Amino acid sequence: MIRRLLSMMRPLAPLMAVSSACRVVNQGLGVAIPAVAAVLVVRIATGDGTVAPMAWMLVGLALVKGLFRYLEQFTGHAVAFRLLSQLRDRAYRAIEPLAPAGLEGARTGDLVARVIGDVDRVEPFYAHTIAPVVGAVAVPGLAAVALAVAVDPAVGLVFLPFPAVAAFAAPWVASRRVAGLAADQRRAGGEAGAILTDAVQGSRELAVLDARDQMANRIGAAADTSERTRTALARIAALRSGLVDLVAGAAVVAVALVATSRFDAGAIDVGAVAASIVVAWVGMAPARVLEDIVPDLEQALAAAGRLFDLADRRPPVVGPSATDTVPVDGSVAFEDVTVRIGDTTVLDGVDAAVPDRSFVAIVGPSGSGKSTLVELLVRFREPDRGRVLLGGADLRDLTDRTIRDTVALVPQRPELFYGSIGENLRLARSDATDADLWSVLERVGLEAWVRSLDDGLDAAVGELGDAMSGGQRQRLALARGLLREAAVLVVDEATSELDPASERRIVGVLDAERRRRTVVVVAHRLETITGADEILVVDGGRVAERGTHDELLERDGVYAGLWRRHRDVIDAG
Amino acid sequence: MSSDSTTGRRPERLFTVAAGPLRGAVLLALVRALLAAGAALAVGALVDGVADGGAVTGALVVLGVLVAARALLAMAGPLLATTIATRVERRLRRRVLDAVLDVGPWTGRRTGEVVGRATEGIDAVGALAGTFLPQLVGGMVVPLGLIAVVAVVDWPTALVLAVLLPLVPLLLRLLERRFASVSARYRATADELAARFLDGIQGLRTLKSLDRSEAYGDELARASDRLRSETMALLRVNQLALLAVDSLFTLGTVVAAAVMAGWRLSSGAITVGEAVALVILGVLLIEPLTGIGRFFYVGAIGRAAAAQVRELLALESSDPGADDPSLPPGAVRVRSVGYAYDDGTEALSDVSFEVAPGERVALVGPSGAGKTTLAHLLLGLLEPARGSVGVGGRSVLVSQRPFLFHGTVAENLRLADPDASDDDLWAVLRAADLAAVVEARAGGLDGQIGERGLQLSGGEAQRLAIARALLADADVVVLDEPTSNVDLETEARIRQALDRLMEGRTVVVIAHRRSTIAGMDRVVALEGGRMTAGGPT
Repeated sequence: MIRRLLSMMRPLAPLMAVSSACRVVNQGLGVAIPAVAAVLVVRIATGDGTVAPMAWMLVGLALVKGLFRYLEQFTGHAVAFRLLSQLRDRAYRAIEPLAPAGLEGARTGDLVARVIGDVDRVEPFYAHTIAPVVGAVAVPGLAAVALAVAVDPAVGLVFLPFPAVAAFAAPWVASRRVAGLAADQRRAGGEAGAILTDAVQGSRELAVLDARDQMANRIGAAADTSERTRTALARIAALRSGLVDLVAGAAVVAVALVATSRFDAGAIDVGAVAASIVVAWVGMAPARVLEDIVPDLEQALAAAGRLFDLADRRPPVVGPSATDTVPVDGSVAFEDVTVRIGDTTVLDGVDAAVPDRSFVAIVGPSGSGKSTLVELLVRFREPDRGRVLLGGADLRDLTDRTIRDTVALVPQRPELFYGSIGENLRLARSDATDADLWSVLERVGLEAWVRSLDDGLDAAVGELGDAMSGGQRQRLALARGLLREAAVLVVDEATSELDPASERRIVGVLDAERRRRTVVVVAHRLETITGADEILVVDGGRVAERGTHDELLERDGVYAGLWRRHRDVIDAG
Repeated sequence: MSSDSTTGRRPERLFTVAAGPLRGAVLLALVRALLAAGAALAVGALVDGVADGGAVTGALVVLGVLVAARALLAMAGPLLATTIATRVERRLRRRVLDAVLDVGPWTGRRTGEVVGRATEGIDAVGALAGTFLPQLVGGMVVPLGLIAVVAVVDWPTALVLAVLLPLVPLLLRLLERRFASVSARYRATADELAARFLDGIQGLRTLKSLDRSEAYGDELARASDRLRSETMALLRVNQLALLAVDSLFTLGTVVAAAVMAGWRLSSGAITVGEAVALVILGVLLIEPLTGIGRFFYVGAIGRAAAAQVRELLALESSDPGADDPSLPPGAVRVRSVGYAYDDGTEALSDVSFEVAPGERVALVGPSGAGKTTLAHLLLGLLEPARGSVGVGGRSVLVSQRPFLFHGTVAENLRLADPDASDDDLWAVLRAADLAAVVEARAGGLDGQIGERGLQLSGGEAQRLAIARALLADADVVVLDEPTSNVDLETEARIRQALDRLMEGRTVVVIAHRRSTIAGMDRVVALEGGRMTAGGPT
């Protein structure tokens, strides 16, 4: 996994190298300055030096040290920012092929938390791990070499093992256990978040049922699990911390011991003894950052594991990448189509044909399979048996691009995106002119509203936020669908939040569209589809009845029952 | 002593709950610094011993004992940090939940924001308390202790360091202000990018159907590239502050100590060993300050999160509750009630009616007439601006789209009555015509129903909500009549279940069907927030 993470950052390697080198110089000077100071004060004591040159030398070193600190931070930030955007980009591109069918089943709150949070957690792996690791290895190593060359080989040699142990042995104490605990902790955190999302969304129910304490207890239980693993992690961290401190102290004692014995042997002078001890004391510090890094690193690795897991999922639907097959017109046909989701048969041998440039409505109780028909039509899902034809061509033989160009879908819950109204509309057709946009806005009855906004087409959707009603959102999505100018327009219960007047207007627009393209409407309110060329009544995964409104009423079957019930609803009257 | 509760104006005290371990952590930092200072003096004694040709064994033993003691104490650090963070977070989590639930229903987009603040936000506040605060306070206390030790060796050096050291926090301030302007800009742009990223992921279905999902990814990458280069241009200048601070840190501590030591040594005031000890003490002075710097981002993020959490806690909350013990169970009394939305629009004005125990009342009117607002007032979810709403006994709601929680069938039911036995649960499931369905599902009562009950069909979810309402055994049932397009058989079952729920109870139903109204004792008609029929007779 670390290898996979490292391979992702190969393009950034030169910048990282510069950043790491600057860090080594900065930290190296942090060791050198007190060591030089120790040598110089001893020289003053022995009458070999004076205060002024020593002072200037130390001031100069301090300024150079500051300069390299700046360079290290600047290059480090450059790396971190680039990485964050790269990681997001990769995460997006990993998820994109899975949507929408491949993302079902995972709790959506969990998934979003996972992607957003995990990307943020992986970033420190690069930005705050690699340079410190280089510093942890290089600075004590250079310090040992400096001691061996400038003071005495024996002193350098005795120092070397201590930073090595601190840097590499301590972080691996109980590391496997730590990895497991870190994963547990994240899971418990995700669980608490999911329960909390529920509690916030269902706050009305909780208030009415007086069940707040129960919910608090459930969140508390998830938090308890998280706290237990955290305490266990803290115990291990405590052990490591004590161990590293002990090693650091032992380094000072050992170097002091060897240096004094070398002094006794007449191999080195007092200044060298003092400098050796100072280097042993200060030179360990860069190695110690690893204990701070390890917890972050473990979190980052756990997060990376989940992201990779997502990236490795197989997309549920893969179309051909290039083919000559194209639909000849906007006709649609389902031939003996069966779809199973899990153990449930959602569609059971459906046969239906929609002629080019006709207006066909699909009605039926919820859960009858209407939405699955729509998903098949845009190949968000593939049939387990039978086939779907678009303009005479089997959907399986078409590229994704061809399908998107031929079928425009206005989904049940349309999403609007960060950006302006104009940008949101142009998602459907990037080369649409302002006149095109105004024209579709006029058709869905939003023109006056958009003109009333200060920024018109440039008004930001995000800032409108709650000021936009569900009906306005639906109509904007519908405008997007019209703008697309595809041969087939599929409207999936997209008038549910409209007021009666707007709804009549939209029904008129859809009615008229059949002169230009095939219109398939999944309808909730039956009065909106009485003018359809054909109504398909889906019930229990089959087409139970088909015909025009009048024919179906005459038949007095499922549709007639739905219609009667509909007439009973007051608001529809 | 003042109580724990806070007024609206004073910011919430988030860390009081961990005051003990916080003090412990600061004390620990001080003791560890003093042990290190002792070790520095031992090194000085050792150098003097070497220079004078005397014995060094004693100094070595003292050095060994001091560093060992310091290592032992090091183990307490992570334990204290975790204790602090855990205590702060546990307390906050409960308070945020209470605050959020007090405020009432949240709309879609804000749910994510609230949940973010309540999870990641609280974690960040915990990290602030456990990791950054001890460093910050330690960074102020520890240098004082170290300077005291320097004074024991040589008081003029201590004096110079004591004058120079306060400059360092001042510089930190400067850095912080510099950094804050950059980091505010960076945060704003980063937030914008994160919002787009989130939009894209949540809207993948729509983007895909428009064949724009890949293009959206490209646009995302371009936007973040643009923002990155802007931010880097800012940093290039702003981070020059780092150069100054790093240099001045070194100059104000180890260089100052070394120069003073050299001067005092040349005038014969201290020994060579003491001079070396002063150099090491100068190095020790850097540590607490770099500690603050190292966890600076934890502090910055934590403080931002703390501000957001405080905002949540300060939300105006009300727990209206419509229970009126003076009314007999099942009686409802609405007197001259008025209610206005936040934007000032009148939702209800001068609405009055009474419902006797066991009576069935239909609320009718066009959409926007105020029916739902009135129902929420009856349930105590809203507080009337004028007039009063009283309900005798317990009331329960069955809404058009009942909210089911991720969890098991039993967990969802027991929200209404935590002490209900399995037999009780089966009884209400039978009454709601759902027992057979639950029996057939994997896990039975303990079977998971999925996020928001999505593993159940619409009709099943509706009946589970009815079963839950039955278990609540309320005196007053407020019902927003379902109009969802379930099939006829399912609808008949829901109807039967509702009939059982309404049996023998006071019922207020927001009616959408002519046939429903026919079965009611009385009709209260609303239009534009006013009663047009059904008032007191």
